[in-house]
Amino acid sequence: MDKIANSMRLEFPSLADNVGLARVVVASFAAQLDFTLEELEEIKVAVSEAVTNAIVHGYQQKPVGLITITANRSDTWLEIVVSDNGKGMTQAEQILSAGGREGQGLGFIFMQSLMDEVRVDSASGQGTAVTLVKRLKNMAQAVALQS
Amino acid sequence: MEKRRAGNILICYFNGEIDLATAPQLRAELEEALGDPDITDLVLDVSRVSFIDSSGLGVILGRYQQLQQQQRSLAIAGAQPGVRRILQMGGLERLVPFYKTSREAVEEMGVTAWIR
Repeated sequence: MDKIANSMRLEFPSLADNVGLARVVVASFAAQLDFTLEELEEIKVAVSEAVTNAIVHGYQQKPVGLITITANRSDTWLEIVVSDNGKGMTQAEQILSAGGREGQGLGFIFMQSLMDEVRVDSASGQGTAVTLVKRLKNMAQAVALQS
Repeated sequence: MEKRRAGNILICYFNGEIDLATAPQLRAELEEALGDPDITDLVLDVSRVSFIDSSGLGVILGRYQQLQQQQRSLAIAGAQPGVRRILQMGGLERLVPFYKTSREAVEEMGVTAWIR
């Protein structure tokens, strides 16, 4: 992996109204890379899903916790970490992402489909950190940016 | 959410971004609107939706299941490419017909009279 060229950190309460804020801020940061508009939309959806998961699952839709987003980028990749201090998930819950909310479970499928890499670090009672990685597809452009 | 009737078809126009913040209100409005037993079909016009995630898709899938159980039908109209892609990824295109416009959807359902 090449070196980090820029980074950001955003912290906000676990309110549904902040889902839109989070995706717009991260997409704006991601736009420093040469992603296509379609790729920026993919990043927005993935961030929206990760933050939604933190609010709905981590904090069970109570505005009691903080969600932190850190993002690093090089000239060829973007890494986003969405973390909460909520109830966390067991391994089985991570796989199934079970729950009664309509559409739940699709969130992880979307993240995995739209990003190049998705990692979930979580343990029951210890919060969750979702790492999302997106790499520039057009490596020729990336190399040109580096030179 | 704006609503319009064409015969027994209800056309609902979604606007803006549909996510965790806006989905509950949409769900409540749709459930209330579908309480009218005269409505046989629902067309969701999403042409003015700029963003949707699984929360929004969940609202649509939930209404699809509800309508299917009641032998009523659902159609999607006007989905822009980004929104359409998410709906496709969620499998909605395999379940309900997609139309370019709500007018096309209504005409396909054999209704020509629009009622405000």
